[in-house]
Amino acid sequence: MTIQFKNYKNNLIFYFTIAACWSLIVFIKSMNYTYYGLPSPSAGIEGSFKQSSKQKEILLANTRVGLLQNLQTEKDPVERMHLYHNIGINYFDLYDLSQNRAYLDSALQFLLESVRSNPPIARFYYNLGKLFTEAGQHASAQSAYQRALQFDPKHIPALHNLALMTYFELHDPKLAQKYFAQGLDIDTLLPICNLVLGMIDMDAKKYSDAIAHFEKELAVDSQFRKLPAKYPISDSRIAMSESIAHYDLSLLYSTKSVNPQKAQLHFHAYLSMESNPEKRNRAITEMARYWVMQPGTPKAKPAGK
Amino acid sequence: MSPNKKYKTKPIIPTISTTPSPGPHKFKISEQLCVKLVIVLQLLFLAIEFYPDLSTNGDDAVYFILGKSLAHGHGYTNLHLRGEPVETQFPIVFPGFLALSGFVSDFPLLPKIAMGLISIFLLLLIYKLIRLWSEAAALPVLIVMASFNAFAEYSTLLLSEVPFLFATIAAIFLYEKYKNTNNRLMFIITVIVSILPVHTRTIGIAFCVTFIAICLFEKKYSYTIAHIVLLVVTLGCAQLLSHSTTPYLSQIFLHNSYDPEKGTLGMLEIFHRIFTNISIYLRLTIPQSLTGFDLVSSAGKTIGIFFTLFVIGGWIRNFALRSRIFSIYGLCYFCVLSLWFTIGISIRFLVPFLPFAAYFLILGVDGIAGLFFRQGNLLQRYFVPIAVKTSEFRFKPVAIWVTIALLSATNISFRIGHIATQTAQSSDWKNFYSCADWVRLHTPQNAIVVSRKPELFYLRSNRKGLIYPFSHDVEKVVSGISNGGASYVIMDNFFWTSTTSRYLYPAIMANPQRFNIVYSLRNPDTFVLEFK
Repeated sequence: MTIQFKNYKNNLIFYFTIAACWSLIVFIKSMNYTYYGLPSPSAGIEGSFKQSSKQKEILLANTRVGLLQNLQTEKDPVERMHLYHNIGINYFDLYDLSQNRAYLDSALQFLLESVRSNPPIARFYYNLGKLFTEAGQHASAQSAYQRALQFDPKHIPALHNLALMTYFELHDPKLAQKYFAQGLDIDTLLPICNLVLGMIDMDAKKYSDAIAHFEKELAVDSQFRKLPAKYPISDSRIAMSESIAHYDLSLLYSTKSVNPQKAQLHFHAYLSMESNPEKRNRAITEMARYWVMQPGTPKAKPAGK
Repeated sequence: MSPNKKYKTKPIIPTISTTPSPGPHKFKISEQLCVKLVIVLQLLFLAIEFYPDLSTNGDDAVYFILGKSLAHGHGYTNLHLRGEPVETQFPIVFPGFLALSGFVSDFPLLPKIAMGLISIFLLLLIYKLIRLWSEAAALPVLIVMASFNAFAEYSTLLLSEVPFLFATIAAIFLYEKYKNTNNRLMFIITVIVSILPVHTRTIGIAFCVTFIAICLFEKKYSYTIAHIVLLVVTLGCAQLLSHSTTPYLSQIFLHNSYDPEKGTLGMLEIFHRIFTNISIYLRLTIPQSLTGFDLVSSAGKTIGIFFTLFVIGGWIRNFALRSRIFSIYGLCYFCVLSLWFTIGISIRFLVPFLPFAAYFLILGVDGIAGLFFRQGNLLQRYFVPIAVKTSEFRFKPVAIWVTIALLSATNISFRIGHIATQTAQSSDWKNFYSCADWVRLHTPQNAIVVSRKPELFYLRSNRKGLIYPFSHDVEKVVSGISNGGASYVIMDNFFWTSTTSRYLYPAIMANPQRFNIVYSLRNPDTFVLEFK
């Protein structure tokens, strides 16, 4: 028997029917699918971008692999420059975690490569300065910071680090003073500057200037916390600055510009901030030379002065 | 009736005599049943493989969003981007088609069903088209086309490959069927359909060149003129409406078509790119698209090369046949493909070429078989016209059907294996979507979110967004985020890309004071960061 399949209408009905059946089957199959969901419970990490060392190490390693791969293929010289810099910073972050000197050396190598063509990017030299400081190469760090300031005279972090390094590592208070003053000219709310200026004043026996600077430091630190963070100065460094300011003020108010109330206030503030028991005991011992202590409590009274 | 008497053009090579047909209807009955069986099986497979949501590709999300934009009266704009800029890259036909379903539903299920049906209709159209030239080749092409894994995969994705192929085949079919008639209506319809490919995918320009070339060759000047006029008018309108500053053709000569800022190629670079691309397509992509497998072993690569050689052989042979429009299109198509950005090469670009590749493969196998089993000199044996009737095959059917069976078997086994190993969403995507859900519930409606896939993020979170700049300059990345008005950033940990760790993470670490974690997930670590 010969069946004539050239009947156009029959074919149309057949294909229409199977298409409709298929559409229905697929529609029914997909009916329970939801296009929106609910978020999974949070892992609970909130606040500034910090991770555990292990996770950070993994993330840094993955990033480094990707960056090194890009180094093989990236041809644009400007991008390559930034790539070298990012790899260097990656190694530096690893060094931060592990304190493995080899990472610091690799970081330096890549960062030096990134500045080989003298790019006018202050950030590059700033980071290089940080690395040199960490490596104990203070003269190179100084040059790097100064180079950063050449390209951007208002680069606060470079100026800040340069000033700190000049005072604490290069032991040049006059130059440090100049840098701090420069920094405060740009931004009066720059933390730590007034603290170190106060310390310089104390060394130079300018006690009233020192007190003024320490008081200013406390005001600045309090303001700095309230505003959105502009500079990479950690909360712990601000706290340390406040703690030192309180202590030095309590010393100055106890010995030089005697004011028992303020001395007490600042000493209590210092003790509340100092968590290290050894340092607390040393501070109390020191204060005991100037104050009569109540038995059992770290309070003090003026010794008849 | 000799096939030559039906048409004006004579074959270049003299035909050889064929054996008498055993009977006109015997094969036709089986063939119609076979066609229906193939279609039903294909529908069955598609039903099993069907996934109701958008893929993680991203382009389907963009098309879907553009369709939504048209349907809701926002014009042809990227709703997922801040400022809803007008779309300048994707041609309008496919989003226009998606807009039809956008009037009914805001979810992708309906258009995906429509795409599946279009793919089935496309198979039938391919079958009908090839039957115009050779009844013998139509069923083998249909079978292998339906079995192709690449074709099946794209049959239900909201991507323009299948609609583009549909427009191309429809245009060729209408032209071949009605070019010798005086039907004015069909003339108009054919000309209109002939410009649809270029407005569906940019590579459709290859089809326009093909159409013009074949019309000129066959002296169909009315078609040529009408096509050119309509093409110029529609392209001009599209350029004006989209305010695009990068004309279609110039995109090909960019270093990176997705990043015009990288500049244009020099002459040497163009040649290098052409050579590299052709090499990749011939050695890897064509074999992979035909067999469905990544042919990594030496044996696999060798088999793959053989398939490619058959395709090339068939392509060359086809220039001497009535179906030469396929060969001209193949030439134009690969000319454009060879100029495209090398890193973008994938099977996806070959999906619109699959039926042509299948047809060339059959021609190639038939031609090679003819070298052994026909009479005459080498050229006569190879360039003989393809058998019109199945009955005209002598020993050749074995070679062709063995090839069809092999290809279909590899593709179907790949598809079955793929269905069996289909897993739920991977954890990196689960976390990404979880972040989108969190953002949807905990952030203001007008929040802008930076993420690796802003289009997918938008559809899940209803928040506009942007992608971070792909630059190693951390300041550039942070400025890009800041200038985009973003208030949240998604730090993902995708397995399939490392751009976030390469570009975004260094920028975050360089400016930690500006980023604050507000939602976090583990395995892998994924964060929603508030940006200040």
